[in-house]
Amino acid sequence: MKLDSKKKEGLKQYRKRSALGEIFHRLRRNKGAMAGACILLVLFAVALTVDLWLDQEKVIGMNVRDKLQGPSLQHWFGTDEMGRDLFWRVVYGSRFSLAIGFVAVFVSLIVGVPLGAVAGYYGKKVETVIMRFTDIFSAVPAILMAVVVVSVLGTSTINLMIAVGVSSIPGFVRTTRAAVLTVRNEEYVEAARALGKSDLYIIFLHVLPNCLSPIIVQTTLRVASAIVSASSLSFLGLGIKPPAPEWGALLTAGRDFILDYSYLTFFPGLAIMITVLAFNLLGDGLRDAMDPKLKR
Amino acid sequence: MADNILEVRDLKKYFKTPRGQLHAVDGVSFSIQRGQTLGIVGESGCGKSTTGRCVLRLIEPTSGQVLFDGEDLLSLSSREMRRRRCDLQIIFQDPFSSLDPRNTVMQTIAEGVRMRGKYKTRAQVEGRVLELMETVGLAERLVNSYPHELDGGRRQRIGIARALAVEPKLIVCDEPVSALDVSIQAQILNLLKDLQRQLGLTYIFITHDLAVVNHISDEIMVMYLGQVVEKAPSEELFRAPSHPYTKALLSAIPIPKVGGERKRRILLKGEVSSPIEPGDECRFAKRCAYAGQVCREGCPGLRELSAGHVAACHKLGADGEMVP
Repeated sequence: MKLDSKKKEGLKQYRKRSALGEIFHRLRRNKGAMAGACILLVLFAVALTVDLWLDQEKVIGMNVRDKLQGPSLQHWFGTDEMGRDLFWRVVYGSRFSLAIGFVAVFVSLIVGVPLGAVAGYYGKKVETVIMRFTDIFSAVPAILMAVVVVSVLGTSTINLMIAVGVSSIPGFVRTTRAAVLTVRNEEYVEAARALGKSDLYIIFLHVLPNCLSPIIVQTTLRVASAIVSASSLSFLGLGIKPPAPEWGALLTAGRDFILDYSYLTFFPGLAIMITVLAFNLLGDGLRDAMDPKLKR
Repeated sequence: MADNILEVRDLKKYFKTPRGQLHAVDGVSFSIQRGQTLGIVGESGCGKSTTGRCVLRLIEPTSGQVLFDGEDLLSLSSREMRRRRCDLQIIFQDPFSSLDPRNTVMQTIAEGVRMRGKYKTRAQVEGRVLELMETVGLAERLVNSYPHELDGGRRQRIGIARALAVEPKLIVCDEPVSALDVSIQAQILNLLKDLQRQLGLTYIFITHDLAVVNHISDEIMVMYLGQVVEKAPSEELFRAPSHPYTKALLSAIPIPKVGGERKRRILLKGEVSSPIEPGDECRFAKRCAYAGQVCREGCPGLRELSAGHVAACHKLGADGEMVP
């Protein structure tokens, strides 16, 4: 190894942060992303610990005398038709809703993205098989699909998450495939093949990193629809059982009163919106931080 | 017997199109001696890039043989081929799309360095990358730059360093300078020549620029619509082009001289005929001033005119002059 000392020093001089460190560093300078990250941090902290400090009675205990009161100092978000404090229900609901949004999207992400990447990268028969199955999959209504999954796996919160995740796989397959198609004919992919890199290496280290934008957008948007579709499953009695609060379920319950007591739908909706917004801000920031072209 | 590093026999690549088979490369044969440069010239769409990629099996050829050091690459399984890829590399035309925009110079070159397996630790790999950067004339301080921060010439140097990183024996240069400014073209060409001398590389140099190909090649192969129409040592080809297509090509080179004698240009009329399901006629016949009945009846084979000089034309006499 003929590496003289000058070169060794030179290397140190030019060495920068690791790739991850660099991404984190740039993320920190993005105000939007940090706002999103902070909101998510708070939401997750609440969701994970709410069992420990919130009295169940506050959440499900009925108090018919106080029913359908508007927002006040005593009941910040008002009370529902059973006189339950909506604020505490929303707070407690984060436990279910965040988990559903997060896990469901994670499930569809780890299944859908590799499938789409393989379909787009290899093309031909592999693509035809994967995409036609995706078509069949998406021809079945998402709710029906989720119902099937839940009834096969059994009713439980985790199965509900899987069910919701499974039904949004086709979207991820399509998005990823479309993005991969634009990248797979780039010459740097060919160069990697010429170097003798394996297909897996190329897909995960060259193709997918250059397809991130649409996948991140799809992911953040899916969090919202996962929360909402979980609520329709709850409505069908396949998910979280009432009276346990869950944002989607709160929305559905409030719908009957939307004309007279609109705050019943407004606050759970706001909670979903803030969550999605936070995911979106963080996702956008992440995308920008990972793109070296947007440096500085 | 000459020491041929690469021998290509009857290479064919047909693409399926809705209108029939597209004959991108149709029965191309050639060989290259170790340490030499073969220039492949021809207009767009004549199959020169496809030929280069077929040799590397980046495109799977329809049929033919590619003997590299006596071993037929096309008979290798894809796993065996992956191991052989270190011996054959490619430099691309467009230095803007041939580098992953998300990788730094270090990451891009290190990828190749690791393939050889000779350099184990991170420090060894990084040291080797710096060596390679020096070899191709990239300043050390650029080691953490991203491709979009660099100009075309520097990017092309990264591409060259990446190819050299696996210590190849043969490099296919696919129009490596045609996307660059003229001043930088010369730098890159000289770099390639220096590297060839230092490392004993063999080049297949694909280009449409005749001045460039003359500068760098030992032998030149002229392609037209997927076939070889003429092949000769560079000097010979420029001195005594035989095929009417080669003559037309050479007459199109501008002469940078004011007030000099005007050269008569041969203007080709008509268009390139379609490469989809070409008939059994001379593919150049439709644009050829000399074309006669015989040209429309059969495809001419390559004939040897003098040692190492072959051309495919019915109308070519034994003395290299056209027979009307």
